[in-house]
Amino acid sequence: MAKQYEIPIGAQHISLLEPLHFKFTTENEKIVATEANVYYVHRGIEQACCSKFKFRQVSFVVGRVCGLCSISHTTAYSQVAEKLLKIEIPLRAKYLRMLVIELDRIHSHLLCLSHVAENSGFEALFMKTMQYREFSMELLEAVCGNRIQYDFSIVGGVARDLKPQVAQSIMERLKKFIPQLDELMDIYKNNWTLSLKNKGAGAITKEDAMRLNVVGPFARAAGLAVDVRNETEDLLPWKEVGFEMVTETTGDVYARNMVRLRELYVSIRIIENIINGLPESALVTETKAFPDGEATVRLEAPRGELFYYAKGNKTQVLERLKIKAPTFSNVAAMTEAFTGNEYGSAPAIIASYDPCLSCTAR
Amino acid sequence: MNNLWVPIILIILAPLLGGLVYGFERIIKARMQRRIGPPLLQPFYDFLKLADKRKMIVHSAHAFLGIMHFVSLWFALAVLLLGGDLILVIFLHLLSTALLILAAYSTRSIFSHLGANRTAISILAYEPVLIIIAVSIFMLTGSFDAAAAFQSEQPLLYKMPLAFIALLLVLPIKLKKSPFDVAEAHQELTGGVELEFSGIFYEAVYTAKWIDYVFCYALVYLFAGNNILLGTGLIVCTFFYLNALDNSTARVSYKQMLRFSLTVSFSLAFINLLLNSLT
Amino acid sequence: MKLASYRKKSPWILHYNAGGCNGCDIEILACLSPKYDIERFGMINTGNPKQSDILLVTGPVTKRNRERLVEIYAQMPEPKVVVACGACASTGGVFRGMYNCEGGIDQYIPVDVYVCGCGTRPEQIIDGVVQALAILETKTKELEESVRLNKEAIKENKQLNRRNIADEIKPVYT
Repeated sequence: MAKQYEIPIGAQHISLLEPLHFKFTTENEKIVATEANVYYVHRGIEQACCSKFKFRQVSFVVGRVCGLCSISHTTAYSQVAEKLLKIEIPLRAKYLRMLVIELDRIHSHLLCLSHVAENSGFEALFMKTMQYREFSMELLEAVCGNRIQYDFSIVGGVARDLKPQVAQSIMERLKKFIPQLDELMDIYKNNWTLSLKNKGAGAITKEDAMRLNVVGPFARAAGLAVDVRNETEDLLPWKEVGFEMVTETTGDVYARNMVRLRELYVSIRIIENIINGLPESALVTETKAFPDGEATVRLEAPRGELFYYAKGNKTQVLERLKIKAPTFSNVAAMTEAFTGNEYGSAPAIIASYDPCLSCTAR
Repeated sequence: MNNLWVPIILIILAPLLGGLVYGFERIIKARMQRRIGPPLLQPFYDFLKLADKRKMIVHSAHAFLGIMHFVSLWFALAVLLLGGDLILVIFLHLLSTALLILAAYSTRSIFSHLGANRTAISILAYEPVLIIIAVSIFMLTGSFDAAAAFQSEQPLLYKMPLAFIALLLVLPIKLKKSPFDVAEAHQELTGGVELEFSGIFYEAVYTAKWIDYVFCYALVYLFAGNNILLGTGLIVCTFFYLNALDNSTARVSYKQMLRFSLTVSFSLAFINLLLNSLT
Repeated sequence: MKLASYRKKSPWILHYNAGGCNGCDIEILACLSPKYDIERFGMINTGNPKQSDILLVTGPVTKRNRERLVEIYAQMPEPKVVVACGACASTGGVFRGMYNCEGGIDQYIPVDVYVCGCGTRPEQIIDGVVQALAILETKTKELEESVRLNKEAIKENKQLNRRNIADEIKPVYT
């Protein structure tokens, strides 16, 4: 038996954005066992949401659960609060929420792709992807007023309206972005050295993905057709705006890249459809009611299914709020998929999971 | 290179020259990535900054081995430029890398160990090719001396083009460029062997990288014989080739690197040797 | 020694997320990208505390992160500068008073530059780092003077553990 090395990654490591800790047991740089420690970022947001903040403030607090998918968190919370208040939000607000969620998905997926490229040792591709990603940040700033942490959804509707000139600039920028996306697709698909690094790395089978309860692009890359946008229609009309399921079969890093890239095309189409058919109505439904009863909401964040549970007791402060983030479902599969891979591909595999530990630990 | 002064000046200015090459390379790399990039003298700013940073050493032998790595590498370059024995040059280069590997093994950091492992493997990948090239030069010029290659009337490139291609394929391993930068692997090992150095001792390792540039381009120049124009052309082409390769590839794993180097590069150099010995 | 002025031209940064929401971290990543390109100033994102000059910290310090934060800070050789990126790194921000959070990193390590905003913009981060460079220069001078004249290194006693670590923060809002 070869000598076993234990390689720790984290809590601070160049290839990690967040404090997380992986301990790999390796033989000749081949990973035989993995331990994950993901709870460095636990801040106690759920408890604070049920004690310190009023229910209308909570939508701003839960946005700070995660900076990458803050709009998903605020929207999911707003929806669950609206269910507790038993109000229906205006149609225009629904469409604007979908618009920002999809813009957010574009920036999140591109960030993940660039991070995979960086961790595969392909610096030029990282720079290229980051450069192309800037347009989505600028658009988000134009729509919501901030590059990250856009508190766009509020309880009862949305905070800002979409101005016609902003809508027009979104259409123009998206048109410019499509050839750039084709270029990225070409590189991620056909670059030989990148495929050496990515093909077959971190693979997980469809059965394992099913057994370990994987969600999001991770599951879709393995062939599981799991997407909340495909399942629920009651809160946001995804199918009406042209949602399409994207799946791959191999379940490795390469397949995850492909899923993300192809989802970008879907997102672009959704955004174009939304802007073309944006209905006119008010932005916010006003209500004086207090949250009462229990409700759950599921929403497709860029990383997978986001689940919110809330319980109200007719006061300003919620009685219970529970957040289940997509990465939380994936942690079990994350540790499993490392086994049998080279240590050299481990950073790329970590990046391809697109882990969001501040969501997981809250 | 009949004049003795040229190599001596080159040797003395080697760190300066290497630093300039490195600075220029960083600009070229940034431009290839559509960035502005650092100023040309950035490596020297880094150098001066590291000089007055507080020194934190792991233990004295570690720091000493780091400095010896730099010294022996410079010495290897001097022997090469003065036209010494090529086998000796390769051996000295090997020695300098071995010192760095020892230094990395002497610490307890796991990343340092992994970097040392990988550096040792990359020696295995490029050293046979270099030895075959030295032997080919011996077959052609009848001498192991680099001077014989520098002075040959006909550039060696015409006689051994395959060996030159093989050299181009192993240079990224030596200079730690993508796709063969497994020894440094910033995202995996955060620098590997150089991880535990700091302050002025890191400077020795950092400057050794510059000398490695001069060393590699001197190896490229070997193929041009006494034709200075061709030599300069080869060096410029190699420079742009290396940067273009660095910016269009991802890092491969060390096993793939070893396999590629020992099958493709080694066989190319070896076929060249066979052809030379047949004719 | 004239070396101090060169330090300003080659700051190597080290980034640590002490439990933030990733928002500021992706903006730091965006700083590396072609649009902002902090390599113009000679900055390299090293992942190695032993070779870096500037520590960029994001996030309020969670209880599990504080030992790591202090350890990373201690591993960096002097002179060094700490930049707190974002509202939560500066004061704790929205997380202040939550049961597993501390109010900002300055309770554990001395902070030289505070960058505001939730999340901070890349321009602000670059500005903060450039301000940090000036501080780095004065710190270098102080350090050199202290070596030459055998004085105390930094006049203020900004040592670790300014507060008792176990000290609980009172909730701001109940």
